[in-house]
Amino acid sequence: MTEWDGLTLLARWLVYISLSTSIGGAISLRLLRRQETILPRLRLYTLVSLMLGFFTSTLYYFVRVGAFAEAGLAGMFDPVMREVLWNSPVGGELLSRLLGLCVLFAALILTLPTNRSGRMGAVEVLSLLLGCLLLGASFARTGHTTQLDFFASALLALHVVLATWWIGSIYPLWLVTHRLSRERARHVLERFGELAINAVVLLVIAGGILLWRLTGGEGLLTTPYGFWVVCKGALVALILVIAAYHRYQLVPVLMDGGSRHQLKKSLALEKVVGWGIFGATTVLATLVGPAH
Amino acid sequence: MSSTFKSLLSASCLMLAALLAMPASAHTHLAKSQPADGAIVQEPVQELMLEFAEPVRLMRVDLTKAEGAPINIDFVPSIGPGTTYDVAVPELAPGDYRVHWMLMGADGHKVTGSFSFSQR
Repeated sequence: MTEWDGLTLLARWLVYISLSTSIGGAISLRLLRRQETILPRLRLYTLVSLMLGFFTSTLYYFVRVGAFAEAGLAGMFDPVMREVLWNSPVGGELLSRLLGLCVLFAALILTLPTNRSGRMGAVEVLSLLLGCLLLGASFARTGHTTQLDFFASALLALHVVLATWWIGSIYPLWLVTHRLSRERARHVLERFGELAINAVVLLVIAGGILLWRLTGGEGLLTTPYGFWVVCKGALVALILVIAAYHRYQLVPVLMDGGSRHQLKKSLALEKVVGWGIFGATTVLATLVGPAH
Repeated sequence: MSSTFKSLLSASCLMLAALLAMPASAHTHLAKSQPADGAIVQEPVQELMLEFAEPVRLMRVDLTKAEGAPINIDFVPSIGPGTTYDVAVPELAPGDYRVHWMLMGADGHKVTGSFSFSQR
């Protein structure tokens, strides 16, 4: 592994995290629009995430330029390589990402008025959909699935949006647990649990199909790619167990004196595991490949 | 329609689509070169030809003489993708040469490789 491989890994991991918090924050602003007490904090979370998203996406692009230029850190700004990469899938990926972030920023602006029912609400939902679509599609511009067909690209976009939404929603749920009354918190967490079950089913199936399309089920126990797939699978299994523990153990007893502190700690652990999943995904997307 | 039923319906559609699809093929590779890898050529080499298995962006080509300094070949990376690239080289003295190439595949990944030849 070269220094550029290390920088590429770090930059891409940061892209996953910042886009996850951007998507999670923007969607939570819509879903939790009636929870006035936490809206200012949610807006701040989304704004900071979007700014980090712009920064990490641009950083990742320049790291890729540097990796191709192979001329030290100054190579990140090599004008010829910059032009070549801008006109390649790497440039398309950045453009799609920046547009997606701009659209989510517009959705954030739309949350500022206090009354968001009616037409403005519809515009906000459309902005969220378009922003998520652009961000999800950006991941389909490069990477191993480009060897496949449109269906695989659509599946990857869906997989990315669902996963990033889930992990990015953990802080908003932590806020719900921390700031709202026990009754409200339980209601919101139960609603999220219902949504999450549908999302998780789609997420896991989409991931499984993509894995089969990429590997045909071969080399999972004998190749580096297979090793990282197994690592990712183990972390996904762990996060599912944590999510189930929240839904069936911690949330139901929240109103009956159940510990908020325990739930908040468990949500923090879920976030760490989620970032670990992003780490394994980063390795799968950059360092190893199904047919390398 | 219940949310569980909708989830199952979506899952069934995705599984059906998966059954109709095939696994992906391998990454791109150098299909052919001129001179060929390991070739011993009698005529002066005036250009290198690299042909890839699928459209790629050739980003870099370095030519080095065995135990010698790199040879300046004035290569400019390609903006658009292509499968065949001709790279002009200066007049080469007899000896052993190695060509290192680096490309960007359609997936945006960096792929490197090399081949060598001898000129008599």
